[in-house]
This record gives sequence, structure tokens and C-alpha cells, in this order.
Amino acid sequence: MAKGQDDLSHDGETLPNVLWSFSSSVVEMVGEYRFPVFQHVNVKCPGRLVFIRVVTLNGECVGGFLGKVQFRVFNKVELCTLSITVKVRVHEAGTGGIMHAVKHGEATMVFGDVTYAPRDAVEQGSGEWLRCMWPVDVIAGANELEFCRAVLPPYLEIEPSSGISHKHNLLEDPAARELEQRVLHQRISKEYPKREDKTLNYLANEWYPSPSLHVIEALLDRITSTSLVPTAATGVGTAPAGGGDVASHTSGDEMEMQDRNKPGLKDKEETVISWQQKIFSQATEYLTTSPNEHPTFLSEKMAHVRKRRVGTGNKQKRERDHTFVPKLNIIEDDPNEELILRNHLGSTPIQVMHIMADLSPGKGAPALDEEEVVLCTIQIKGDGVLSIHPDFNRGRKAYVKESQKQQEADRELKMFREVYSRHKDFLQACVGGDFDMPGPDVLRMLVYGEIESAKNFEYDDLYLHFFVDLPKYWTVERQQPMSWITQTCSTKVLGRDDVAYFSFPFHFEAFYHNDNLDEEEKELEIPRFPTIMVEVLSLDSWQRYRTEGYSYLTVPGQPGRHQETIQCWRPMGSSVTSQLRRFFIGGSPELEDPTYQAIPSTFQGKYLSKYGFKTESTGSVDISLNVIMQSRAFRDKKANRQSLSSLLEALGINAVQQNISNVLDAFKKARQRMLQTRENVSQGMLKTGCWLKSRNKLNGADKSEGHSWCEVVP
Amino acid sequence: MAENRDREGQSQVDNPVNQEAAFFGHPIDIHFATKGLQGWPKLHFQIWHQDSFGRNELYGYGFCHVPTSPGMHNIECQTWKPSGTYREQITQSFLGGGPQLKNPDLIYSSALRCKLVTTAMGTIHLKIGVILRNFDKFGIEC
Repeated sequence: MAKGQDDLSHDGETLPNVLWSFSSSVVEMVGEYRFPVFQHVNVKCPGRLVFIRVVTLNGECVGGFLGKVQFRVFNKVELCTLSITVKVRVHEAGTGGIMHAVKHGEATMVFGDVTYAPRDAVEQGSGEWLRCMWPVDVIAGANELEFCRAVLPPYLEIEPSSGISHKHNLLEDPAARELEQRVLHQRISKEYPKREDKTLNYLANEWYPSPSLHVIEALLDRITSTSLVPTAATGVGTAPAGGGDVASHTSGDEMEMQDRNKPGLKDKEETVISWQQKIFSQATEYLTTSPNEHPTFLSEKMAHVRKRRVGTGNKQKRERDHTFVPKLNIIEDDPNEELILRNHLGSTPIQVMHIMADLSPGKGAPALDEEEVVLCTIQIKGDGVLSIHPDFNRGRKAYVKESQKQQEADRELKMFREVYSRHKDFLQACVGGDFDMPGPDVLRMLVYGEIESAKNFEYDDLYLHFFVDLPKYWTVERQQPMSWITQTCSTKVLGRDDVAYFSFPFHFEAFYHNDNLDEEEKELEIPRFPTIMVEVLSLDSWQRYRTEGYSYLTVPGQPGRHQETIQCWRPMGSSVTSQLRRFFIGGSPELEDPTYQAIPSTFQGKYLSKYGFKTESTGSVDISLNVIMQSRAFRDKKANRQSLSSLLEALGINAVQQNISNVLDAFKKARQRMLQTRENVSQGMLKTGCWLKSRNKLNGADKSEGHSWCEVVP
Repeated sequence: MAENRDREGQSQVDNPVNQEAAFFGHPIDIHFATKGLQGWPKLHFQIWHQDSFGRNELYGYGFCHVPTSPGMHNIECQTWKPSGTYREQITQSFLGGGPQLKNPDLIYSSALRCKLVTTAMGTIHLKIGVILRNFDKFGIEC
């Protein structure tokens, strides 16, 4: 807890350009239980964006701003402490969460007593979900105190009993406290002059109880089938609490989860979370059912990494349903016969019909089991095999279908046609008619790819970490994962190569939309395609971890299937020590900027020089990509056969707009010419004295096109 | 959405005699209809080995996307299988068997792959001809 103070006392002015820095206190949810994950954000710098969010396992944000935010000014260092209660009831599962709520203005922020609608300040295209939270602009002056709280969206409810409790005041300094109380009082009375003192006192005490750090007392509740349906667990023997440092078991009726693999799973526990303390769920994942199995080093490390999870969007949800993977025990160590059959044999659908005799006396009385006799069983399998039991061939030749007459055959054909056409209609109805189209001026690119293999790297047990880097004007859907980690694969020898096979699927969908308003600039800009940055790593059985190679692949701008091999290099250390270190204890120089493989993200200037950076070439990675592009412009392209490159340039300038501007230009020219000729003519006519006559002519010609003027021009 | 309800099949057991490759010539014939580009059909494979005693053991899992562009494609699909502990690997080399995935969904999903430890196995060669219809109507280039 004392550690928290150090973290809090960062000086905001040392980081003038950073708007915020993030520090989290995470109740990580691993396994199948629904702990909300919550996070703190420590705000240190001017700008003061404050985010908290509560996230379920699936990455769905179910709430934000539970509790209050307190700011205090202490030696010109602004601190922000957040208190959060953990127990939240969600009325609707899987709702869009705060993001959604913010976008549609459903949630409101109460700031002091004034109700604000939150700003719809969602940052675009950063790719990092933290930046698109629910920002609250706390307009604190230099030496003022601010407080705010949030009104939750209607589908959220906080457990009333599990209120925020401030148990430990670490900085119990009466003088400081008094000072701040006074300042707060002043501020409140300034803002709410009509309030009574009582309310002010209440506000001051309630909203700003002490200048100290707070710890949060949280009641963690694991939701399992037994805890949801307590009666279901009555038959199950309950194990007593395993003890431990966390207080639990306050009431007798709490059910303990049945021990699965490891002891110590509790359904409810109370715990005190101090600032920046991390709590992880007790349930860890085990790959196998073997009792002495340990999760791999990589998976242990990965459990600490926050990942964008596929979740909220409808599309992703659909996909997620198809690709459900159990969290526990991915590998079956000891497959039983049924599992082998089920996974191995392609099951054909079977329909069975039993012909049965009912030998019961009848009169409404239900028949006993013995009185129902199966006379005959008829099975038809999906592959067209009809089997009848009991067998009536009795060793004779099998039943053969006779060939039918021409008339019958015709009838059958007709019937088939009808069936097929109906089936087609049915399918049409199932699939639906309206095809997904991207908006106008947008190029939608879908990439379905596989990491196929990695070849000729120095060490064994390879895995790949890769992510997609989007250039300017490209956007992706927020919930989409854009970074992946493959499994760890040991190599085999193939010819003269050491290969590791991954066949690792990934896909992403990106949108290109050039919204540059400056037309000239837009013309000069050449669209760039997303880049896949690949990092090859190895992790051996002693958990020695080595960087094996870096490379990148720009997604081809050509739709279709692409088979690409990318060659890798790895940074060399400058000294012999680092090579020795790599050999003996693992750990080798890594790139600090992951985009350094391609054009570094920080690069500005004319010449990209990597001189002085020592690398060593290593193996290669095979990637295959299927690229699909979709755009409304492609439809038009079909008519006037543009090439893809010219089409990309034209994207953003709508064809309709272009037509209109063409017409307008023509009109302007014509009008100019018309005015000129008119002037000329009128002058000429005046000179000749036929003014009146020509005027009539002019009026008549005004309504007609400009061409008719040519006759009048002298 | 697949028109046929059978979306899986199984080849015969082939005994490679002259080469280090088994030839199956197993036909794949599926017809799909779609109303959006979200998701694309995937092929996933499970390679099994049957020994002279009739025991089946897993030889690999493979995955590939169905090519998006029309035409004939020669696809090489690499396979892997989960590797067990050292002890298991030794047992396996004498007795066969070995761990397999509890749920075959993991072959074609990338979510929890990083928790696996695998071994490189063989390669599947596929020839797939793809015919697309009406995709250009909706402005799709593939």
C-alpha cells in the first residue's frame, strides 16, 4: 500500500505532452467465472481525462465510473484517486456498454450536482481501446478541488450494500485534512450559494472524506452454475474453505465449488485492494488433465497481457458463437473411444423409425416397458443407405432397386426439379437478399490469412507474434483483434531446412476512406496498404526466451490469393556479452519500436537510414493471404473499366460529384460566353441603330441555348 | 451458409507404397451462398494414422482458408499436432497415441492458440477450384 503513494506522487509537469498515464488495478478474470475487470486510471497532467471501466470476460464494457473521482491539489501535483465498488449487477447481458451508451447519449454524467451529457469524444483510429473510453472533463483550476460521480446507464445497478468504504487512511494528517475541507467548503458554497450548511457538510464529508489514499474493500463473487442456482448444489458435498489469507465464509449457506483440479476455489471472498494492487482469479488454466501439468511459461505470461477480445459487435458475436473454445483443458490427454469416433468419423445424419407393438391392455392405462415391443427398425442414413432390422435377406442376395419405366422416370425428374426449386427458394429465404455494402467512397478490404510456417531459425520451439499496422486513412472496427500470438511449435527437418508449421488463421477487415478535404493534396497522396509486422520468438524448455527475427509484409494491393515468404533479421547486440547471454541464459536485444522493421513510426525526413544498426539475417516465414476488396466504385468500374490504381485515386471523389462539377463548369463557361456576346451584340446593334429589333431577338434567345448566339455575333 | 448439409467428409485409408505421400483424391464439392463478406469458408483437417492393428492415432491438424479468388488453386496446408510432456513423447514413440485437442474448434480459431505447444507434422496438398458468382454485382474484387 505504501507503494501506491510513490506512484501517485509523480509530477505531472515532467510529462508535458502526455495527457494521461495509465495504471491499472485489475481483477483479472481467468477461467469461466465472471469477475468484472476494473481498472484505474491515474490522471496526472493537464487535460484531465478520466476513465474507468468495468469489463466482463468477453471484453464487453458493462459500466463505467462506478464510484467517484477525487482530485486534490497538493504542491501543484494533481492527484486522482478513484474508489470503485466491484459488485455490479448487469441487467442485460452483453449490452454494448459504455461505448454504446456514450455514442447514443444514454448515459449522463453527474458532475457535482449538474447533469452533463458526456462528450462524444471518441478518438479515431488509434487502435488501442483505452483511448476510447468515457472521458469526463474535469475542469479543475490550479488550486481547486473537484469531485464528481457518475450516473450509471439504466442496465447497471450497484449493489447498495457494497458501498465504497474507506478503511485505511494512510496519510492521516489533520492539518492537511482541515485545509482541504476548508477549500472544499469554499468551493461548494461558491457554486451552490443557496445550499444549507448541513448539506455542505455532508457533501464535504461524503465526497471528500480525507486527503489520503484509499483502499477499496471489494466483495468478489464468482458466478458459477451452483451459485446461480443454489438448489442445484445441495446434493453435492461441500468442501470447507481452504483457508488462506483472504477472509471468506461469513455465512454458512455459501456453497463451495467442487474441486476440479486444484484446491482453493472460493465462490465469495472479501478482499481489500490497495492502490495499484493486482488480483488474479484463483482459477488458472490447465492444458491437460494431468495432475502434475503446469501451464506453459508463455501462457502464464500471456495471462497478464490485456488483450482486445472479440466480443461486442454483432458480427463478431456471431462468429464467436461458431468458434467457441473451452477455457479449460484444451488438450484431451486420454481420449476415450467415443471422443475419437466423434472427432474422427464424419458423422452422417441418421433417421430411425421404429415399428412397435403395444401389448398393453389399453383403456387409457399407460403401457409398461415390457409391453412395448420393437417389431422392426428402419434406419436411413444421410448417404442413402437404408437398413432394416430384423434382416429379411437371410444370406440371400441383397435387395436391389428395379429400374423404373420411362414415364416414372420423367415423373421423378419433374418431382426432383420441384424439390430443388423449392430448396433454392428456401435457401434464398435463409440467406436473405440484401448484401452488406460499405458506404460510398469507402474501400473495404478483408484479409483472410494463415501463418503457414517458419523456416531455418536458429533455435527450436518457435512462436510468432504479429500485428497489423494501419497507415493513414485506414480504420478498423474497434472490437477486432489486430494482434495475434501463435502456438509454440517445435521444428522438424525437411530436406535441409528446419521448419515449424503453424497453420495459424487470422483475419481482419479494414476500411480505407480518404477524407482529406484538400483536393490537391489528395491527388498527390498515394494510398498505402496495411502492414503486417511479424516477430519470431523462441522459448525453450528452460524458459529461455530469444528473439529470432523480425520482418514485415505489406498486404498486397491486389485482390486474390497471395503466397508470400518474408525473410527475417534479428538485431545483434553490440558486444560479445549479449551473444553469450543469448546462448547461455536467453534474452536477446529486441526492437523498442515494433514498427522499426518497416518505416519507423517516428520517422520524419527524407532519407530513412538504418545505418549503425547491426542485424543478422535469420530464417523466413511463409504467409498466405486471401485479399478481398469491396467498394461501390467497383460496380461502376465494371461499366467503364478503370484500373485499380486509378480507381483508388478516384476514391473519395464521388463519381456523381464529379459529374455535377463538370456540368457546372460547362454551364459557367457557357454563361460567360453568353454575357460577352450579348455585350458585343448590343454595342454593335447600337452602332447600327437597330437596337430595338436586336433587343427582341436577345430576349427570345435568352431562353434558348448559347449556341444560337453565334449567328448574331458580327 | 452451405447448401449441402454435410460439411465434412472422410477420406479412405491410403497406404503409401512408393513415395512418402499418401494419395487420396478425395473430392470436395460444396456450394455456399452468402449475403455478406463477414467470414469466409475455412477448411480444417485432421490427419489420422491407422496401423496394422487397426489403431487410429492422430497425426496432425491443418487449416486453410478456401481461396477467395476464382480459379484453380494448388494449396499446401501445413499440419501440426499437440506435443505432450517428454515422458509422453517417449511413450508415444514406442506405443503410439498421444494427446489430441479436446475440442477441434481450436484448429480454426486463433484465440487460445498461444497456450498450445505443438510439433510440426506433414503437409496436405489440395487442389481447389473456386467458382464465384455475382460477386462483381456487389463491387467485390477477389
